[in-house]
Amino acid sequence: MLKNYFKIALKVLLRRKFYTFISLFAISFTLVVLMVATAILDHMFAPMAPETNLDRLLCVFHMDLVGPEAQWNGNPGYGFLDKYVRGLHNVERFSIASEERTVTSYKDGAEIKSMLKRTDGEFWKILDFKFIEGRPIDGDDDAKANFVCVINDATRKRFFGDQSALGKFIEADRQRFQVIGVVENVPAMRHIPYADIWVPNSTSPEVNYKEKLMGGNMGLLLARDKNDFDLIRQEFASRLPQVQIVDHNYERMQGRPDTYFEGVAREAVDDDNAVLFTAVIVILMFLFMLLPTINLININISRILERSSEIGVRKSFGASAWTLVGQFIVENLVLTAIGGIFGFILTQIILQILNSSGLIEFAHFTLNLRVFGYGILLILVFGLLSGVYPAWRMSRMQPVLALKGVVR
Amino acid sequence: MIRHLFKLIWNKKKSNLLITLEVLFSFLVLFAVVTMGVVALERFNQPLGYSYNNVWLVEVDTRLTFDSVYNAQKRAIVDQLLLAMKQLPEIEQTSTWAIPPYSSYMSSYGEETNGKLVRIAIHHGSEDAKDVLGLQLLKGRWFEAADRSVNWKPVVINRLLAEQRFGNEDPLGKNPFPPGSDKPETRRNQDYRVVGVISDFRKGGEFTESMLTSIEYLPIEKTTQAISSNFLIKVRPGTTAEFKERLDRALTAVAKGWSFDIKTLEEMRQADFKPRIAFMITTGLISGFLLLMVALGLTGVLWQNVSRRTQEIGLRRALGSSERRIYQQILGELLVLTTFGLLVGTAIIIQFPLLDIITFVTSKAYIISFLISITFMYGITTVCGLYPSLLAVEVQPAEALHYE
Repeated sequence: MLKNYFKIALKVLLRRKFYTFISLFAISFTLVVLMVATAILDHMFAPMAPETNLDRLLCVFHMDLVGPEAQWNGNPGYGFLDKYVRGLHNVERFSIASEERTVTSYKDGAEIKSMLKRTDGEFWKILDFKFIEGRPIDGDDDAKANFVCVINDATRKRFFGDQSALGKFIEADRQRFQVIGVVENVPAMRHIPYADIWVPNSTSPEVNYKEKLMGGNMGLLLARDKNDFDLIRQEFASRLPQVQIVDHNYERMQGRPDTYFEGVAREAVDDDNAVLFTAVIVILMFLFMLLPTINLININISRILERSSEIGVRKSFGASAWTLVGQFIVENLVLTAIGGIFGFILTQIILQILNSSGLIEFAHFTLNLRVFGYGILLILVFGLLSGVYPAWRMSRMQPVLALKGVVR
Repeated sequence: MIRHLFKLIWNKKKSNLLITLEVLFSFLVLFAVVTMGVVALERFNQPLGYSYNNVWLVEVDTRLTFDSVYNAQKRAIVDQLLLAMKQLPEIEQTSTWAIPPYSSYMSSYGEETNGKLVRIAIHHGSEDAKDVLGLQLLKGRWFEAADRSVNWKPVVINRLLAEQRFGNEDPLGKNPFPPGSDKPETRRNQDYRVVGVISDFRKGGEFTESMLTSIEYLPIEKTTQAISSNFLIKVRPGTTAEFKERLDRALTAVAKGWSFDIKTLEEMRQADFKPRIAFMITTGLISGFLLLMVALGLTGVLWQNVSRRTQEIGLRRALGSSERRIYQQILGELLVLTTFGLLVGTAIIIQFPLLDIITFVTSKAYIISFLISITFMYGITTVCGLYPSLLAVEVQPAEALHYE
């Protein structure tokens, strides 16, 4: 039966090529836009190297220092993370790293701007960087304040061309670091690992960084199990009242560890409500699909009206409304699937262009299995949305009128 | 004629409803994109109020935030930095400016007046900042060294704030912050006095709107006590990026442990433009394709409509209708449908300024965008209707009447 529908569908498509062209154009265009958006979102949120443990990771990105009249919202400081967040139960590994900041180097009179992140040794055990050469920063480097650095491939090319960088020196903001490792580039949209140059926390020129409650750092908590997130949050909350605040303008600290997605959601919608953020994305996608869907419904209705005599014949010979609806929906899904194939090809091309344009640094958007799955889902939704109403209209045609070709 | 068209359309309201919906949504999309473009163009052509040519920004990171203990020490270092900069022949003038042009952050003061939040951008600058940035003074004077010792707070405001706050009165000597609050700590209860009016200072650059702006006095030696510590320097024309390294070396030699980020305003301007333009191009492209898709779809639907009405058209032809009358009917029906969609769209669009939801678009830009979008929609639908109506005209009466 399905095979029959399939054959009819192909025949119908070939009969009115103009309609087929319009439908395919609409379908593939819509899917391209939605799939490029999906690929970008996937690139931002999905677990992938170096953040292979993203599903077990809690991050302290944002804390509030609250007083009766003043409030300071921002990144936590090294002192807070070191004294009050270290050593929580159910946490396998804990790392403190700085937010990335711009540093300037000069090479032959030309300036080179790079992003620099200060890290401890644990950072390199939580995250799974791909090393091209050398080794990561370890706890010993941080303890002894060794002036060593790990750089990414792009930075190596900028400073040393194609040669090995190991053992050579880089000067950044007037500090000299010896290169001990080179890793593959990490996309700029990956906030946790991203930097061009990584150096030990203890090389900070800041005198009192170990005392500061607020400013410039992030805490990474790798849980033993993601089911322990609630326990970790409870313990974190129970430690907050112990924080000793020197500045008289403030009384207490508040905040909580977020998953990466929640952290981004907090930035985007000013709320830690990840559900709301997801809803906003889904609604935006749906709104975008609205116009193409109406367009496709219109075309589909025209297509059906044209076939009214065929429908009349089938109805007169006893085909039920449901059979006809089923047939038309299958036809529509076939059409959407063909449009989807074009869509996939075009998406691949556009992502390649985006990657090579350098618009987002080190971005490497790909159509991986997950994005492919979302794409198939989108195709199904789109096919159903644009097929159901015309099919329902078709099933309600009066056989006699349909046979005569009179349709309202 | 028109009444007749309405009747025809009403008789097939179901299928026409979908076409109207399509016109409506396309119109809304088109209007949003056109407004974006018109607003960008409008803002781009307004004067910035300053000049970014040969102005460099030196961001100072003292690495010692959050404490006043170090201020005396910091002060001494700043004096040495100023001395070091004076010795470099490339630098023509040095000033401080807390929130530089094209930066992503801002500082503002907002208070409710008559239930409406009035937001005033607050800037801080030194005596030389006016010449470094090329600000245009309209009235009064800029800050001077003697302002350090007065016991009131001198401010310079932009024309927009002067007009909004004082109308035709002379703003000099008055407090620019709106009166009416009884909170003791607010700016309005302190002794601010306007000493001068400048044309404008649009911190955000060409693509942002002009804001109510007030500039307060920040002596250059207090650079590190501002919200963000920056020197703005005017360099000799023709100074290249090579000078950055020497400047950086000279500054770091004086201030050990501090770090300096040196950028030209031109660089910051480019960095600010890049994402904005990329966004506009992407949105424009997507909407362009969206409208092309709608246009093709509409053509298809109209084509089908015409071929279904072969008999009707044939009959009219047989009874003596001219080709022109047939054209008129098909296109006329379409235009009436479009008008329906546009009327609903207009009703929706009018809500935004009425309800004060969108305030960043001037009414001029709103009206221009509206007219462009309406014209464009009629244009698109007419083009879509041309080929189908051509088909209608070609219907042979004899053939059509033979239909059954």
